[in-house]
Amino acid sequence: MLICGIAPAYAGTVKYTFVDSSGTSTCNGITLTETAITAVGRNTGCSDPDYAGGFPGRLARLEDDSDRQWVITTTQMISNPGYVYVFVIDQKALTYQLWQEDTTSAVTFQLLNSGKLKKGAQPMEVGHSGAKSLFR
Amino acid sequence: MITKYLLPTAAVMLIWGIAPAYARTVKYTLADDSGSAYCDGLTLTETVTTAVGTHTGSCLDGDYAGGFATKFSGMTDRMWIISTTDMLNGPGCVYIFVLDQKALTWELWEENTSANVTFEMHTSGKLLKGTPPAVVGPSSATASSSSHSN
Repeated sequence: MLICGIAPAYAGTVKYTFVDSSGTSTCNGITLTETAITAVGRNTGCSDPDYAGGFPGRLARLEDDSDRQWVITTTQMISNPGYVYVFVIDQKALTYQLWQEDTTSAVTFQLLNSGKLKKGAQPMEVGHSGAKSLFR
Repeated sequence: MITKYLLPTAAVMLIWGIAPAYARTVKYTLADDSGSAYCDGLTLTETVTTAVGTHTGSCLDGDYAGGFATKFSGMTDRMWIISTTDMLNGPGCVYIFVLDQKALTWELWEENTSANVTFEMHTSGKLLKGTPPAVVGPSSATASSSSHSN
């Protein structure tokens, strides 16, 4: 397979909780099953459990472009219909950025939030009021 | 006068490694593999890092689109990962275009929780320069595909 240039069939599942810029855990998380070229998963915790997916790559001139980042796209159909959310996840530095866009609210593609990733699933269920949600 | 002020500024930017503020606007029509235009396209204002724009065409309602320039492992061309939606024809769907502006090709990936479509490739084709024609016909998202569920 390597001789033919075909990536080996590799898949691993990662689970993260999002921590805000002040170091406080949010009630949001994400679970992704990653291959060499794509990731497929869902939002977890207090997020709407919409599908999430994307690609790995090296983004041009972000804060730290030495690491490979995952660009993961998702939405929140119940809480924020129409919004498109894009996570930029650095699994080496354990950091993330959350970008958003929503035509009906006149929100062009822009950075909403950033912070650190904590390994492990977010245990809080929908409706838990102990932590803030990452999403607007 | 211009030389007096601009040259020192440029020198400072080079010394400090600051990239000049760069932005350009590109307009594309999405076409199938044979070059037949769909009714939709993308207009994007690109900087070095990000792109912001709209999903255009007479068959759409002009949802915002945006994303990042990315280098995929093992590929020579820089790709743009552009996320958008289509609230008029496919509310709840998230569309992700992967644009190769050098080879003038695109892939469309989609996800839709309510239709049980996980993140998967829907269709692909050629990029035509310019805005889409005002035609009645399928869009890139409503074009037939084995994975499409709308």
